[in-house]
Amino acid sequence: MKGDTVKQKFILAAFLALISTASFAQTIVASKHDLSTGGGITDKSTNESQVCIFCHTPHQKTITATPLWNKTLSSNATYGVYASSSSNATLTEVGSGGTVSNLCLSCHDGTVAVNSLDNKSSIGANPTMGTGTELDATGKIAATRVTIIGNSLTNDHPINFTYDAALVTADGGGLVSPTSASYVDAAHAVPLYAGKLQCASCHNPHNNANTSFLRKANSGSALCLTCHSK
Amino acid sequence: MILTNSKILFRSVWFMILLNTVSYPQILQSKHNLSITGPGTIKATGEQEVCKFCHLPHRNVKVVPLWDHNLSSVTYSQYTSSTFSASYQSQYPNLSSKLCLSCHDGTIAIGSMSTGNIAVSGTGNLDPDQSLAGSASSNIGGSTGALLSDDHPISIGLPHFSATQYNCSGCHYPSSGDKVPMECVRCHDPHNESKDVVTKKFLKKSNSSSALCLDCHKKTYWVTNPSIHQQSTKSLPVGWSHNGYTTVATSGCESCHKPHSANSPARLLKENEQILCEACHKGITNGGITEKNVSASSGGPFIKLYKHPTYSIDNKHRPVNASPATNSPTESSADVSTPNRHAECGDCHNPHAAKSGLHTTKTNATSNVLSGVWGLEPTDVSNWMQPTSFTRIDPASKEYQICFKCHSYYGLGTTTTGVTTIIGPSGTNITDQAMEYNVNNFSAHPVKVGSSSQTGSYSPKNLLSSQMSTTWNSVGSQTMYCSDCHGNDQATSATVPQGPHGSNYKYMLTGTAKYWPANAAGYLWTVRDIKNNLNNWQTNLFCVNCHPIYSGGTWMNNVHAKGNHQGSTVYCITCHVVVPHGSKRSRLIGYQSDPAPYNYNGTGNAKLLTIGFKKEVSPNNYSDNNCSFSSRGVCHGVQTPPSGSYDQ
Repeated sequence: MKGDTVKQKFILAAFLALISTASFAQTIVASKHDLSTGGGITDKSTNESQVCIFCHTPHQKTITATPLWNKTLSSNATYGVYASSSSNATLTEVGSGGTVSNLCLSCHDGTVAVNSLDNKSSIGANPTMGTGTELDATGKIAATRVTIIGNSLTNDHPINFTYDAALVTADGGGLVSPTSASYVDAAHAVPLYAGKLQCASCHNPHNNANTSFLRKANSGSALCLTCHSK
Repeated sequence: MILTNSKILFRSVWFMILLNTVSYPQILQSKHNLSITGPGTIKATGEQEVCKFCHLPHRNVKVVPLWDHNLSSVTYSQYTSSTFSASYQSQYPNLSSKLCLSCHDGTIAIGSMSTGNIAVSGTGNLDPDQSLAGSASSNIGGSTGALLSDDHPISIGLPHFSATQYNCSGCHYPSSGDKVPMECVRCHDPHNESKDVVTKKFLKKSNSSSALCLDCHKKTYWVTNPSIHQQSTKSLPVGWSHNGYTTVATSGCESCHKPHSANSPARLLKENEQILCEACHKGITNGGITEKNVSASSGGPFIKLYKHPTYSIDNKHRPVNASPATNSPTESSADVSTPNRHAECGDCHNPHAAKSGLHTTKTNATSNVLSGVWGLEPTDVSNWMQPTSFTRIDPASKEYQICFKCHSYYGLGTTTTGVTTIIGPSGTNITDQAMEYNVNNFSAHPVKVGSSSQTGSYSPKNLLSSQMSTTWNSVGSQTMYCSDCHGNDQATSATVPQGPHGSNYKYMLTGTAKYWPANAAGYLWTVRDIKNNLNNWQTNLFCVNCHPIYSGGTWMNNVHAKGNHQGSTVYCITCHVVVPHGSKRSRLIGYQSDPAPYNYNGTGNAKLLTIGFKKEVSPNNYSDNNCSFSSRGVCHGVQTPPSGSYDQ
């Protein structure tokens, strides 16, 4: 029955390709993370057409953070951590840290202007941004926006904790056991960073296909249930 | 080889089933999946996400556990009962339970989130504002949303309960220091509806035979000396079960109790006490139950002429914690005295301990049906004085200890004569039975102690065994129940209970013969009735149930044999007390000076006449001078005692 297997593989591959095509088609370009003159927000830049520069730079005397980070980091040293009697995770303060989440917070804690860059590119200065909708007059994310996490993480889903089998055991049945220190799930939709859950575990800053830059569609709370076995 | 479409389909389906079995989250299959794809009647009209009806990953106003549903501002009532000794936390309810109540008190729309409203629909279960309707089974707040007083208590504070009655480990885990406090989530897991596959209701574990309840409740007798209620495999009456379990044993606590919206809130009873009990104890087959009939609604003993006031007096039973340390309920003297006199099922029966079984003879030891009920043992005083000091016996070891709760100083108050002003159902004044059975009395039926141990009785203390029926011939050592004389007028059967519930005969007299002190026609019994075989004395004269008096042509003592005593106007109650529990005189003789109802106080000889009596060494040794009277012309007239003095 070898033919069967081959055919099945083909059918499966075709199916996967179809799914892949749908989700890979969308990129950062023209999304809300595209702050350039062609970007997807109202208060986009009026004079900077490069997309990646708002976060990344290929060359710089001093790269402040990986991956080739170009954005001024927040100086907030204390975000605090989420605390709950039913949580068994050990949370580490993110403030002044070098985690991938600090990169997100360099815009989303609302303390640093989105156009505050290390490498100013050809303009020679920080790009000029629109104001009044997503951004305030100083270029920070406006305080009224839902995208503001703020400078406290005590009322947000916990991040910067090790998510491993030990945690799953301690939790006593409410969590799915991660497949590795790099991914929670076998489909590799939800990544871990050195075994830790970070902003980027749920969010993919380069792809807004699922809205809110979610790693996968949350219909039926599928993203939540990737980890939470409720 | 060509793989057919049907084969592909079959394999895909099989694969999907496998996936579901392994990892399909329980929340999605539960009624708490309020998304448009949820399985319940209440669900979103468009929203596809599940978690967001409660949780939000960022910027939560309520912080833990990332809560987003708007909270209710209702001030809730609190469960209370006289046996509830705990306090409540200053924050009542605790935030944990407020989260649940944000939907389940029925005041807030199901989709009312801090981030905006999610539209939901739910035929018949939602009010127009999309909050839970008062009629929805999951609404525990009642019509106002504030009604938690008929629900199991939550947010219990310190000090709470004793380790005698509760398992600390039900909420506190010594190993980890963690705890699941007595909040909604102690019993419910909001993310999994079917851990108890029978009850569902998001119970935290299977509650078969009340395993969940028993995590915390260490109900006296229930586990260690279980009641038939803990073990019975009989089916509950049709429509009675509210938790899906169908037998008395598997429904367990919830055969009688209801943790939410209980109709009789104190102790969370499903119904008012007697209505609750008669659901099963009704003498008719309903479901798998055919129990003895104690109901008033289907012809049981409580509709008869003379009865305990179980159905007529309600809301007087007020058990309180005798001691918070043991949490054992009792009632104070005031709780059982006028105006609070009452007799609820629970005064005589403990449903956590009661077992089936009939009375046996020659004992006063508490029978199975009275297991686990507390009682009173009086501290006896001198002859015909009223005991006013009692020791609480829990459980009562003797039946009379249960009766004494109401039929003694404890429930009657002070009386110097034994007679109270309370008129009983039979029309006579109720008397103090602890006084009547005082072991220092000159005579008493062997209800408390065998006749040999009746301290106050002069020798010979006992009747001869030949003076007794064969059932009751262990004279001296044998004891008896109150309910050997007082009980149902019907013979015991599968549907007819024993016990003094009710009877159509005065004083609830039971046995073959049920008339005292007068016969069926209302005429006072005489020795002449026996001598001349009148008025069906052999089957109607109450005393002969145990005391043959005259058998095989022989009188059992020479007093009854005396011709002068066999006249038509020499009544039993001319010499003996009408209430033959006990007497200040030997052999239940009464004196002229004794008050009613001991003294019949009728006209002519229909009253006590003796003023001096002396017991003889043998039943056939009596002569005129054993009894003395006030003057010549009254019976034997004035006599001098044969030896010593009267009053012996």
